[in-house]
Amino acid sequence: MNRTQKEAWFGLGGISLSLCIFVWAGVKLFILKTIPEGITRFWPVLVICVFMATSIVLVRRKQSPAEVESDERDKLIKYRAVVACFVSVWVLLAAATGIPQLVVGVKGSIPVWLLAFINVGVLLIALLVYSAAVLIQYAWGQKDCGR
Amino acid sequence: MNRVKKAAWLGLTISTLLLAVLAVMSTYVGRQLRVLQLFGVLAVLGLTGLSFIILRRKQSQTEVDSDERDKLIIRKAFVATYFSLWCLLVVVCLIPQFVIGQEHQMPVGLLPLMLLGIMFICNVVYCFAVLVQYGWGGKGGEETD
Repeated sequence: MNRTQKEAWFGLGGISLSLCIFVWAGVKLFILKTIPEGITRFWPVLVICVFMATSIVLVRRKQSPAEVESDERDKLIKYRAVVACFVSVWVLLAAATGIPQLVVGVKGSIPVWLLAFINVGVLLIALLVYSAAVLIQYAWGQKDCGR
Repeated sequence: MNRVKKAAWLGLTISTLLLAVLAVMSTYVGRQLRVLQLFGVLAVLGLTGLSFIILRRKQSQTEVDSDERDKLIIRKAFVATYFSLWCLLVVVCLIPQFVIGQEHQMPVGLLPLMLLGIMFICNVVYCFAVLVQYGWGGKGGEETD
């Protein structure tokens, strides 16, 4: 497994974890209507930081001395994944613009802090799309080599 | 001038113009929401249609569509646009918090305007990145046109 693939796997894991925490925060804020207080509200940040630190250490460690950092194919895969991510960001932003209009009406209003919440959601989903796009392309490549 | 360069000049001009119109029209938020949304749709359709017509027409029979260098330039410009998109999203989150405060409310009608603004700025960044790269290439005597 090369570095790009390892990054994508750890990215997928970390972002899935972050998305779970994000959904949990959304449920607490919008359904249970409670705002977490005290030091306990920072535990998700701690979990994500520990996961990121572990990922960086493991991604930087080479499995063998012959492991290549990245070649032309990796660069192309990364570029295509960025394109997929970019397209998904626009689709998500369009949805994030339309959904509040449907919920509160065209002349309604939303709290300002919701913008940050929406954009963090968009960021997490876009990163998930990036990691998934990288892994799917590697899977397709292996399938082609197997033929 | 090749197709990529033409597209960049066209995009830069139209996006800058649309940004200016958007900035003027955003002062009418809350009064002319439907008109603003219609403007957004028409602007994007018009931009796409006009670009398509102008770019399909070749200036000469020998004009090349795009070569490897053009592809590399487009790729680099795209990556620059991608990063600027994230920077813009952060700025869009922060500005209202500083201007009207975190606990206050903002009209939903402002969201499509923000999205359009981001879209036009991204297009300006992309076109600018393309033109800057062609400019650098020109200094080395490698200009494609």
